[in-house]
Amino acid sequence: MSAKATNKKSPFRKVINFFAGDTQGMTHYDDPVSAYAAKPKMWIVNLFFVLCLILAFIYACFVSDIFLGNDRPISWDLVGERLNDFVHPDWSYFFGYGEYVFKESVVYNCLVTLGVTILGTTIGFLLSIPFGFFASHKLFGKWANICSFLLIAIRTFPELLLALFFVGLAGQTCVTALLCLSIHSIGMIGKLYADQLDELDLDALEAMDACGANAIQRVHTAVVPEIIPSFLSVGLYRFDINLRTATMLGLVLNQSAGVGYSILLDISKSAYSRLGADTLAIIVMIVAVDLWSSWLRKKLV
Amino acid sequence: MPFLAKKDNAWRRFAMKAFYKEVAVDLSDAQDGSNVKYIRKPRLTKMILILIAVAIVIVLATIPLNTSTRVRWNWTYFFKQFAAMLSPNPRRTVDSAGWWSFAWQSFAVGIRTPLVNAQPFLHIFCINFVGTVIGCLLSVPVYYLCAHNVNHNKGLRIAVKIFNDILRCIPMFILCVIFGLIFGNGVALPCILAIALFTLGIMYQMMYEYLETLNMKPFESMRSCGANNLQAVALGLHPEVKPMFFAYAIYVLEINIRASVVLSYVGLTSTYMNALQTYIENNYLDYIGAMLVPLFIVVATLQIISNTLVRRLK
Amino acid sequence: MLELKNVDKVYPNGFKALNNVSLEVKDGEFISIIGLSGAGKSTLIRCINRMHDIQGGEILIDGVDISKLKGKALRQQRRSIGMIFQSFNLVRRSSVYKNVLGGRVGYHNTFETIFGIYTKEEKLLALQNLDKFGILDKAYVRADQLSGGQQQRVALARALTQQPKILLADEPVASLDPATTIAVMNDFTRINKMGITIIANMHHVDLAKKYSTRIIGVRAGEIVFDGKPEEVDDEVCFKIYGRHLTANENLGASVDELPDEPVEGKEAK
Repeated sequence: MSAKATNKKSPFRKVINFFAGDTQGMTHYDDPVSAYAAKPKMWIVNLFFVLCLILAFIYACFVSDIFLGNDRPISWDLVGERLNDFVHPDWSYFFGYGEYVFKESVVYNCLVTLGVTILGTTIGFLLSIPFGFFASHKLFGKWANICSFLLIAIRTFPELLLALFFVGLAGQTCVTALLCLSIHSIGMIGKLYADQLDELDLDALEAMDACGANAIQRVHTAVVPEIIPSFLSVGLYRFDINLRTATMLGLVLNQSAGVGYSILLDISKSAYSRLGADTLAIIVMIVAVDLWSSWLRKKLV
Repeated sequence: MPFLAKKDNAWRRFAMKAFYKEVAVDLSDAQDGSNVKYIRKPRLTKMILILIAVAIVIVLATIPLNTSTRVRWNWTYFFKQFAAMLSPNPRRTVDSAGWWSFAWQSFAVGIRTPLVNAQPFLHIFCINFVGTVIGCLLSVPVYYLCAHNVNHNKGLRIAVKIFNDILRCIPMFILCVIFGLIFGNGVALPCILAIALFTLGIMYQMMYEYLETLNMKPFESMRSCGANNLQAVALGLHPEVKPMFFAYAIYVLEINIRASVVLSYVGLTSTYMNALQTYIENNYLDYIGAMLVPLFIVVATLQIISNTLVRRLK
Repeated sequence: MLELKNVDKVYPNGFKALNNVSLEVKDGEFISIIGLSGAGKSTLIRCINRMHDIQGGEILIDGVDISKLKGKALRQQRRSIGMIFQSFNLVRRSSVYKNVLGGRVGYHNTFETIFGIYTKEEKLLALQNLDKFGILDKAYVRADQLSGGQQQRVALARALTQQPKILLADEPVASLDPATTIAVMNDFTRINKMGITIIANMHHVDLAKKYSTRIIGVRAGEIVFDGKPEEVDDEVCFKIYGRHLTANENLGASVDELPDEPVEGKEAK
């Protein structure tokens, strides 16, 4: 190689230059042929990466027992029967007439789920406001790291585990569902609040400073009006996610948290037309709420 | 409702004042010489706040807050739980060495106790990995088809979008139940398929939104060099999209690991998540504490990596 | 040879950008198109390689009507027409070398493009073209780390790697500072001397007069002037612009004072 390296003699630099080419532009090439000889061998790295991914995938396939259960052949007659039941939902169970009372019906369960979600999100929305302010780097500097670490810790907990812990506190009741939804919301809403606050233009704050306002006056007049629409939009976004979580909470909290528990019952009783009714209700509910909230969010921003 | 009627009355005046504000618009260039005009805009924030208040009242009236089991606040027990998680129990993990060795076993070796016999964390991680990889690969053509700056066929775009939006709205455990009808419960395959479709739903949404914010000029210049659409995407857009794709893929993997707790209820048997659930229900708290160590480390690491990547790329 | 016959272009919103434009370009010419912004300069350039469809007339390149072509035939015609943009339009995350190789895309099928399969001759051609503009040392640097003038030279190298017969340039120097502008314009002259026809939109009238061999004035979608640079005087400018030239339509005294050698090329070690 006739290329003369003018940069610092570092073994890492040499290795990087070999694979990625001279990304700093520090090498002088006399002619195109010498530049061609020094061209990056990135394909080796790419090939290695792809091979690693493929090997990891194959390994993961074996570890996860994806092939297990193939010794039990699928009986297509049974599958057909189940699917037939599944796509013909039990309407009397859905609306609560005939052999079912309204309090057992899917519609009632969905209402409970929706109610728990609305309450839980609202509580979480309010609780996370101080967390959001304390995690904002623009307002609190490096002290914000403490709070943002706390928010990461909350987000690391799976929702259902949190629910299982709160069962120890308040039993299998609606209150547990509310606690779980609101506490778990803090993790994400708080982070998004902090992001919004960091993006905020602080010129208005300086102007208030010049007027001689104190801290609370400053925040009240310069920050609050700007931030309310984006905070509400974050809350609505979390409302979508919480609704999905709330349907799962039924698995842990029995019927007190809504529709999830009936799915567990349906599977254990092999009642597939009831399962169809439950599934249909959940999907319709979530799609409707999703459409509504995305429409509203578009209007807000 | 009286205030919706067109004619002027007290109700209407009240509603107009409460829910609408008048905003001045500068019209200095207008033809008729008027330089300020007032238009009515809805007070969206106020409307939402009132809506939430009304919803809460309705909810408090309907949900079974008092009718089901009476709430007994058990604070001492609640906080003792956390203390017990971190201290070894003399009958089970014996000492801190035992606690840490159980944490390691739950991560890589396998959970073998009289109560539960289950696979380690690595197993559930692999299930999620396989599902996420399949889902991410599936999402590549889908998000290119959904972005209006790549796909100019409006009908196809909207069809793909509607299909994916419905898919995105189905919770993972419902997908798992549906696949379970076909492949049977207690097998990994329906779970992996559920994770893959769930991943597809999230990835497609995030990626096409990112794609639509991208600069289309390199794409255009590739077209002017004589590239077809696919070549222009591969050379002009893909290099910009690729890093974000990996950042989001890691993010989705992390979401999936957390969300797959739910699969232990509907699809999986004898996994890490099943063991976690059984131990919590039976108050084997030192086991829980030890088992949460690998979960926390892996999830927090993935979260920090993906957060850093996304922040740098945006 | 390029020939435009009675070309009409109407935008979907009903705006008529080109009105019965006829033009004949001989091989090896350096044509500058001047006119007000919105007069249809950009549209004219983009119609020549069918980045815009035209509504009437025909565009003949060596006797082939490009306005009727579709799919593969159109793409093969496009690869013989290079294009330079005002904002360079490089892939910012790829290296300079990969950007320049991108010019060969029209000669390969989709599979080869996706896996980056090019012949050794093509790779050497790309590096040679970088060498011509004095940026060979930057070959493996990411494109967004270069200065504006260097990025425009990368774009020129990419266009040359296409081995085009015609080079279209859409305001190639509008986002560069005066010194770099002169250097890039000298590069254009060198390309022109290799026998490649150049058609460029120019914002600065004095630049157009100094560098091109023929000037076309466009006003409201019609060609109002077509002649040699020497013929462009105040009267002609008034006809093209509808007013006298303002200060920002001339680059100023620096056109004659600055050296002809590429400025940044010298810095390269």
